[in-house]
Amino acid sequence: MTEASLIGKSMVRSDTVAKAAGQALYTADLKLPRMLVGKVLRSPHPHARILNIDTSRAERLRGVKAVITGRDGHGVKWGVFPYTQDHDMVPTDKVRYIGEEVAAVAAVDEETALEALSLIDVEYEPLPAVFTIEEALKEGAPLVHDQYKNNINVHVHIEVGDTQKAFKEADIVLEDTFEAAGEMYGMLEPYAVVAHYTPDGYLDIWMPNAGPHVRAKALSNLLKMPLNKIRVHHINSGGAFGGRSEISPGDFVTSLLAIKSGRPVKLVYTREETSIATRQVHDIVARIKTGARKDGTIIAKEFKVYYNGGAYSSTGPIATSIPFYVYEETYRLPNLVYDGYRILTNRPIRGMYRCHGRAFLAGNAMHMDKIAEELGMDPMDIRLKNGIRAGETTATGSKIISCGLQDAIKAAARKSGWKKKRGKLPPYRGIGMGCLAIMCGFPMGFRSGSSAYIRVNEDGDATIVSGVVDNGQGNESMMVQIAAHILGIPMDSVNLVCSDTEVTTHDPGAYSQAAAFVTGNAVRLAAEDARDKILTAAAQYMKVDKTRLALKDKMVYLKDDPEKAIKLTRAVRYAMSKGQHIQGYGTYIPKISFDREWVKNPYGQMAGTFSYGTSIAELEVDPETGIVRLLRMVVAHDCGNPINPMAVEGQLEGSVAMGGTATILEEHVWDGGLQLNSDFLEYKMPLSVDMPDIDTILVRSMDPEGPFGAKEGGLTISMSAYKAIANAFYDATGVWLKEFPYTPDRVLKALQAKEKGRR
Amino acid sequence: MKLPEFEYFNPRDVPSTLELLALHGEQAVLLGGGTDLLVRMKQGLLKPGVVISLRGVEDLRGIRKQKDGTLMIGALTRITDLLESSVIRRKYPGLAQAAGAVSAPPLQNMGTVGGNLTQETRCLYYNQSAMWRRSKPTCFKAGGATCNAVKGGSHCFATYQGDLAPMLIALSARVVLSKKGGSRAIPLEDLYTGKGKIPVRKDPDELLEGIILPPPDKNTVCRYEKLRLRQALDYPLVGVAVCLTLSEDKTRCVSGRLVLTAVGSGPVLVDDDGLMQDAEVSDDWIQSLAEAAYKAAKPVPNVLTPPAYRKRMARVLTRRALNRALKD
Amino acid sequence: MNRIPITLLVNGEPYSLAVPPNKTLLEVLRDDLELMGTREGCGVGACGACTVLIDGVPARSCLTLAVDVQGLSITTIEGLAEGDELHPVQEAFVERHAIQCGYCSSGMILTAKALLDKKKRPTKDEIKRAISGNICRCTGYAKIEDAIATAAKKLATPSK
Repeated sequence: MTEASLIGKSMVRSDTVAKAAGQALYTADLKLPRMLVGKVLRSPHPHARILNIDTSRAERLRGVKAVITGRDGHGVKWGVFPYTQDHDMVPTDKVRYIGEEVAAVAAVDEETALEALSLIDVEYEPLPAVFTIEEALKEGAPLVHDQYKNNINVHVHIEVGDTQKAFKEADIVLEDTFEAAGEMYGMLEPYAVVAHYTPDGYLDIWMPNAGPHVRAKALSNLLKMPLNKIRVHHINSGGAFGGRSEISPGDFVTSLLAIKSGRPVKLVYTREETSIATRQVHDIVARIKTGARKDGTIIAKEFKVYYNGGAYSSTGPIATSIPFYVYEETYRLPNLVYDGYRILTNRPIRGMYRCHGRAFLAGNAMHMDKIAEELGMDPMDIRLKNGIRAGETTATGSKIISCGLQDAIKAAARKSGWKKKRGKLPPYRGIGMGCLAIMCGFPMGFRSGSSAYIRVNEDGDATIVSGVVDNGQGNESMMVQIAAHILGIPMDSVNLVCSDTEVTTHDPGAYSQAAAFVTGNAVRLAAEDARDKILTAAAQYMKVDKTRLALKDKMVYLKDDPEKAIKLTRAVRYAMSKGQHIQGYGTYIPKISFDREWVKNPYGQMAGTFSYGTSIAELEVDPETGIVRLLRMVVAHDCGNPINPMAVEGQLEGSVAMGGTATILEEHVWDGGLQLNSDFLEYKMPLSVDMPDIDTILVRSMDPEGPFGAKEGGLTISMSAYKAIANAFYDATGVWLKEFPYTPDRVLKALQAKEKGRR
Repeated sequence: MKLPEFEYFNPRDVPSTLELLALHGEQAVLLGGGTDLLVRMKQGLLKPGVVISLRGVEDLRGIRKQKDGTLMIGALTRITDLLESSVIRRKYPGLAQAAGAVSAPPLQNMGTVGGNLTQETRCLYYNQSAMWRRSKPTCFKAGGATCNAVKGGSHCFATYQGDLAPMLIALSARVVLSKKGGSRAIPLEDLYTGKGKIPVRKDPDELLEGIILPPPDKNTVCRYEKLRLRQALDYPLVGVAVCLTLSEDKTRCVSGRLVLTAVGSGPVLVDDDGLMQDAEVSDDWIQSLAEAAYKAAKPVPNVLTPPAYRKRMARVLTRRALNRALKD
Repeated sequence: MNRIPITLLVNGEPYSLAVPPNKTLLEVLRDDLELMGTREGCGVGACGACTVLIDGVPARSCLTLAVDVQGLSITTIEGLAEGDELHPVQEAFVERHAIQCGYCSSGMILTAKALLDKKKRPTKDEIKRAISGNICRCTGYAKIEDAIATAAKKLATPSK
């Protein structure tokens, strides 16, 4: 018998049989006795003062059980940070975007609820509105919130080294502006909430979310209820991609309706509501100045990046910073000035997104290729040269403890035929490269850690209790696999109880790439603790030294004499008979700087570790129509050590769609504050027939801290795919296209501009 | 999303359908595959008092060769049926091509020929929810007096985006319209008003029974070119259908038709100024037809991608359609 | 509104119901029959999450009137497995990691099943084409296509 090993094996995910059978429940599937239907009245104005709301006619309608407005709340404003508390979940003073919550009803059925909405009379005084970054920053522009002068919501300023001096010493200096329209999260599951309030003061609530504990805390603040009376329950989530990390007004509204009516209430958003009234993605304008030496070393960077944040702060300070950090975690940047501005406008609220920052990141990638071209360097070599390595420290002070960037670059290049293709493909065909890092966990102060319990039952099966959240990535299954591996039992012998705030332990949630590294470590430690207790009991029972024992196939055996073994159940029962129940506990908090703050002190250790990735895109441009066709993507990602390789591949492939194909297709289109494509027909999420061939490569850097060497699995590809496409487009056409997405009209305009320039 | 309330009928044959239409005409809608109609009803764009479902009207289904050599395609024939029909594939490959370009297979399974031909014009400012439309003045198409897409527009500019109509018009198809007491067959192009607000010209009590295709000609070549952002599901940004009847030696175009879609409020039969009558096939000839298409295309900003781009694409796609048709 | 008595044949079982004509098949499946595996993603036929098979053909249940499919055979995701035994297409989706968040899975699996019923050995392009009307936001489709090819092989080999 050899040591059991499930790690590194492509195992069937623990959650997918129920999903395949159609038996997995999502929020909208829940039914409770006497449940009411909730509906929300939304603002038709992008910016207006609310003069009066009269709900009396709606209240009188038969079948209506509760009507709420902002006056039913406690006047508490939500904000992720103390200095961003500006979001009245149902405002009473003014509305700030089309689609904002104004009132809500709960009624016996959908028809009645909709009719009741039409009976609510709201008097508005429309106010002048601002929609774009430019409009919002204009002198004398209307203010979205009085407290944010010039509509500047967040300003992140980071300075390292002596940038002015470095630019003077640079042999090449480039300066360009890059722009990108915002995208749609497009999780397939429309947002939904079910809430039930009982007379003893408990609120039970279900909604797709990426962090039940932070949800509960937000609700506790807003509803002025003790934290342990808010029970956010586990439910399957039909995708998140960063859009379900924060409390949503829907949670608040449904809770108020449930409290007021005394009955369970279900609120299911339409697709349009999901699109406009949950979260959207920032539009970005990025001015980038780069200085490099003749040998290709980047020595200076100056960034001015503007993010259109919509009407409220949301995760503003984080969103304004992340594109910068993932970049500084990738390359050595000795001298830099970063100014990130999040600008408020009368558009829906923008949040963090899986592929956040495409104008900024692709812009930097284009600069790197431009420099390589001027110096006659291979774009691959300039990346190898400037790429950060293990043991180094990033510009703002994060130590890199493992780094597979060099390997990822080389592996992707080899697989894609880079040397044979770059600069050598026929006209209008091109290949390009982009690299990126990602932090495994955001600094979240005391919330940065995770803990877990594991109990081993008398039948040898185990139950994990963890705060882990799964929005589809496979996080739940990953925890089961880790525990099963350590306990030497099959995955289907492990039950997972998770993301239920009154039952499960704390966890940072699934929106900061922390699940493998942080939660995985907590579960690993809990399983090791349980294993230790099993081995202790078995050692007593077998009268051997504990260090000689190991677990496999539900047996405890002697490593040096595998024939000598007892059943796991025997060991567990023996322990129980001694009053020593097998319960393991593990807790893990990454080694991060606690005095780091997104705005006030953006220096210090950002995360415990970082993942690395490289995307290589090969594409074809139709010079007559401007249509770009993505032919192939080769993506290599260093996830430390893949716990479930096929699950990691799935993350990479999904990233190719969301970060890659999306670069050609995806953008929200607007008429002022009105979104013209909130649906799945006119918003262009990639279809099967739009996808390129994909080659995935898993790079193993064996992180010294990660569980079994593992780190986050896949996000670097989401955020580097568009870099690769921008550079491949140049290789195909000789045009640096600085505006995203690469829709055919933009492409054609750019090709024509080049033609004109040539004549 | 809820459908509004309505009275429902499901006739089993054409006569009883016509009877129902005679009775309910003005307030009735005909339900085929539902892929266009039910969406509009869900969005509150249409609140018919009566829905007559054609699903059970078997005589409206099917593709039949007629004695005179023409082909009759029943209105309830699904797009998938066109694709799977060997007659269509062999004798009218252009139509198979256009059918294959409609949306995506699951919707081809539902959508019908009649429904596709009578599909409504579309506009980014109109095909929205009731909630959305509260933020804008009521537009012409919704019964108001403004156009929200074309600033200062004096009428509705909603865009016709059907894929089948351009090819069927290029094939000189006729459409059979029946009502209680009589039937008429008119050239398909005459079914369309070219007006955004009411794109289809048909009496309220009339039923589109089917289309009649003239007998295939072995010297006829056809091609449909469709531009869209995604390779499935999407309506065309521009579509070009071309059918050419060539001389035996293929050096001359004896007659032909060039039809555009998605660049106006109806399918646009390009006025080629006699260019396709007994003309020598040449690059210059192709270029002049492409120019004619460019002139005929009148896109407005109510579909994704700017009108100037789409107008240019009418030229590019026409050139492609002609070149590819001639190569086949 | 008046209700119309209908009999729906769902997963081989007849259900006698009285439904208002404006109720979609999706609503009847979920609200009346409590078959929650059929999901609503967009409500307007653009995503395919609500796909069911009507007489074996994939259709959008959100754009189908329940009264219109009376007497036709309807298959939902719940109708594929036999007891605990998943259908080979479901099995392949599980084994090949074609499921992430799972919200599109019911529609994808049914669409795949209909394809394989019609075509034993579909090419890669035929697979891509068949699912081109079903949106998945998680997987990038690669593993879904792989699973369908795997299912085709499973179905070709006589069962154990």
